[in-house]
Amino acid sequence: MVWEGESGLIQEKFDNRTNRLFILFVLCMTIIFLRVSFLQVLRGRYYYSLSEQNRTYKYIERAPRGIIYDDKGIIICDNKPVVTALFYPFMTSKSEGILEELMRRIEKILPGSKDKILNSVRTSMVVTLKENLTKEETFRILEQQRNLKGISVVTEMKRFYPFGENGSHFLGYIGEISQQELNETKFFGYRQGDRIGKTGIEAQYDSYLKGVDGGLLIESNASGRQTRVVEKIEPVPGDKLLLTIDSELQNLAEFALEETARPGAVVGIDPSNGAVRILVSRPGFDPNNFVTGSPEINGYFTRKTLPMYNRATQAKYPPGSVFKIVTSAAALNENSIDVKQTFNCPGYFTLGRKTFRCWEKKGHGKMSFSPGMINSCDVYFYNAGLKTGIEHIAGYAEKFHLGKPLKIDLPSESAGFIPASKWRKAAFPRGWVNGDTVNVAIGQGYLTVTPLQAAALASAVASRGDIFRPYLVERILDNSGIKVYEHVPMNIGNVDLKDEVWDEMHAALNGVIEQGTGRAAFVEGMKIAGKTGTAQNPHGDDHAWFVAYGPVEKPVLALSVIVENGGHGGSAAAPIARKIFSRLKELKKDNLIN
Amino acid sequence: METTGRQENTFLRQIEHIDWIMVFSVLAMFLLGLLLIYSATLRTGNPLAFILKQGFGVMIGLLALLIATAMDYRLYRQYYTQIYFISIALLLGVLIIGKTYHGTRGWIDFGYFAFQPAELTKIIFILSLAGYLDKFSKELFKWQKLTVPVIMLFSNAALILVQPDFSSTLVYFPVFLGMCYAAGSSAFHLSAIVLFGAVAISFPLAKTLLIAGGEKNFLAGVLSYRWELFVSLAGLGFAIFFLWWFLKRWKIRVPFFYFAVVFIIIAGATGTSYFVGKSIKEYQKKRLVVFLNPNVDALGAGYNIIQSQIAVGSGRVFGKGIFAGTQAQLGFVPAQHTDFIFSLLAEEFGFVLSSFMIILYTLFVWRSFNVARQSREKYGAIVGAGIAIMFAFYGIINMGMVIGLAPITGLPLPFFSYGGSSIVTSLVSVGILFSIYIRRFRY
Repeated sequence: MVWEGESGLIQEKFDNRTNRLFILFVLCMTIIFLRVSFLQVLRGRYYYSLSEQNRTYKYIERAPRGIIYDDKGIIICDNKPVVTALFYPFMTSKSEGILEELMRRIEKILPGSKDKILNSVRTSMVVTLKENLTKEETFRILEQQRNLKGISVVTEMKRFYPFGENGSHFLGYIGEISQQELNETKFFGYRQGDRIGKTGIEAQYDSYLKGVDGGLLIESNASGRQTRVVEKIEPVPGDKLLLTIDSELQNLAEFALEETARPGAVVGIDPSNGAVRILVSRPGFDPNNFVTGSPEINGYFTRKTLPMYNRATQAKYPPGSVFKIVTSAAALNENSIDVKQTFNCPGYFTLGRKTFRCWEKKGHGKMSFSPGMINSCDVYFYNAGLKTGIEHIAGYAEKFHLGKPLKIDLPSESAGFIPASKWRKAAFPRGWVNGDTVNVAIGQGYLTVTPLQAAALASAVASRGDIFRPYLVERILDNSGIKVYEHVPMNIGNVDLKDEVWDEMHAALNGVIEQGTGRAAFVEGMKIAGKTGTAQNPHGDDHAWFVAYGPVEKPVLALSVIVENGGHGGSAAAPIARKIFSRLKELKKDNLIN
Repeated sequence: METTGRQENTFLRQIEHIDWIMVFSVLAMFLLGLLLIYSATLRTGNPLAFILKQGFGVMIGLLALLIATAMDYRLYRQYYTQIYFISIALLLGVLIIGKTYHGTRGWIDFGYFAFQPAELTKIIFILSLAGYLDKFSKELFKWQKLTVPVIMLFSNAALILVQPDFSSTLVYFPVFLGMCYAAGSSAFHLSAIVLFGAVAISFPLAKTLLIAGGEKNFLAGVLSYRWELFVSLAGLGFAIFFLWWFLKRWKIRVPFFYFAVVFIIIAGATGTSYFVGKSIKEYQKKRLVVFLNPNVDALGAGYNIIQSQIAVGSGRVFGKGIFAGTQAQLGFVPAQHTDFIFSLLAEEFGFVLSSFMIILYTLFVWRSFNVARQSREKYGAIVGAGIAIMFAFYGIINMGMVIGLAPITGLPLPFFSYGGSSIVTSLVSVGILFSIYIRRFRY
């Protein structure tokens, strides 16, 4: 039949095309039919047996998390056995009297178990009666084992941090996975109730640390109620992490900073490869509290001193005079000043109508490069900075990898900030004035760095320009001891200064310790070099900075120390460095380090 | 008086021409559906409540079916723009006054039952799109004539996506393509649209599938819209150009235009995919990954696929018997009274009934296509084709999902799945098919 008011041609095309669509449909249905035949006829027996097995369910036994060691093999994050009492509803006889008797007995040992058992019998599910049994409770249950059928005592491994607060910031803590995290692709395959690392290494290396859960496979018979344990799958513990941290120096630094009773951070890096030896942020938190669920943790998130905040990698401070290292690198390498060139310091410096002060009110008199650095003379660096210009200073700061994250293997590292030219143009419509350059030259103004970046700066000076990506995990071994990961030092930047500039710089920074503002860090018998800094803080007392590295001949440690509101770097921060380097000297004497 | 009498007579005479095969296949499907729903909801302890509610839907649906059959479908052609705007108004209305279930603002509540406008608008979409295609059928080979249909498609799809109801929008695309194709649009233009859509959607999914986190390699760069993407696009451009040049050398003349269009489409779609990627939710990406490899998460999201396949397979040839499917009755198969109802049928009645059901459904779709072929004029033919494609798509995707051949999309199986809106819409669609079919003769 021909369509009304149409030519037969259009209809023919329509018919052809709908026929094609229908054939496509039949093709799909044929595939579905074949697949159903395959599933039901060819593989029916297999799927039938699967559906029978399906009457099993799992009681999950969590795998112990991987153990974390320091660089000498000392355990800094462990698992502790915790005894838990479980009730299996299908192991007891269903008769009322026996269950009553069982509940009466267990109620005496573990009060509150009765309701849990009743609930368990009703739902046919295994319940935990009590976690963290005391020795006494455990013994009493074991004594009466014969009369307590269905109750079993199992040991589970719980996270334990032997050093408590020390190292808490790089270790992190663990907690139950949140609903939001479950939806993230990153946490694919995780289940509700899983415990995951929330910060620090626990979070960064969670996939290695978590291991594979095991458990009991419990089967029900045809009536669907009475069940028995068919299989016990042993959990596979997580991988072992071998860190670069030297826990002795770490603890030393923790206590030294704690003595100042102020917030702060200490970071120590091996200049030859970027291995992080010390990473302290104070105040810290005790990760054990997150395992036990102690009420103490509420304070961690509300206290004004921010104990959960990893100052070492997240906090940004103006670098203060520490930045004079960068300013002088730019000035000398670009030949903007000569090392012998002198500037007079009367205690202040005038630029137009503005006056900039030197920290030494009396003034330093005539200063050349070395004395300028040793005394940290601000006026000398005002002059040097102006001669060099902000473009060069910012450029060298970038070479020293300031203003961008170093990508240490920890979550949420801050970038810090250098006033690069693009930002300056946007932020200063009237233009960047010399006064801003003068401020940046001595590390004040818009500049900020993290303590980690300050340590990397010292490390770059120590290694004559090489910057390595800082890292904490040296090696990862799986449960059977096979190496699954090993860090390869990664050179992420190079500050190529002329040799004579490095020589001058090293000599001047050594002078800071021997006769300058950093005398408080002097260690008899070890040649170290460093620089103090005092970061102006509009909200209170100045922050005390100190960066150093040593021994100068063959540096093994580059250090940065910041003490919030500590005042002068030379008096508040340098003594902490002295303690660390003194210990390093002793260790070296005992040939404990090469 | 006389006119109405004559019309009634006509209708009675027309009803004699009804497609009895279709009547019986539809009847068989929803009656079997009621039985399955009863079995599927035994576990809840109150299966009758479900049956009553579904029965209520069936009654409303049958009433609507009668009205739709009696109404002359050519009325829709006359008012196709108006009904298009009614559907848009419905979708806008539900966004304002709609009720939210499971995070989707897609229901209008009437107390005893809730109605889902998106179910109705897809029929209106078929009716109005057919109106346009019918009116411009002689010019459909021009690409300009596809702009209005594309706008109709995306206005509907966008309004449903903001509810957000990912699965209800799915059916629009095959229906759109099939109708335009049948009505005479150029296959090249339609392929271009498909290519654009495929690239725009697959791009963000590929990222989820191929790279886990912040990996740093070339592929990761391409999929993260970094510079590597521009390098690849430039490379693709060269490759396409080279292919054209190569074919030309071998005296195979394909106009350069086609190659240029393909390149522009891919480049444009990659750009669009950036926004698509931002609007797809994590769990939706996750579902696709699980579809491709259910064992990655056998106790979590991959559970549904694995359990439903076990259910189908374990039914074997004769089934475990009614109400005796362990997979279904012990609650291993999710949504077994709605989206996964086919797995229950396969488990309890075995291959005997599941193959019968596949044949029954195929028969029904065949009769629907037949309506399109038998229509006395073009509008009815296009509408018939649209409805047939809709049912075909639902059948393929739903059954494919249950046996692990298609991703889990949450599309129901028409006439079988529990759900009032779904059964009413299906029956209304059948009514429209009847309306076309019984008027196929000229008097």
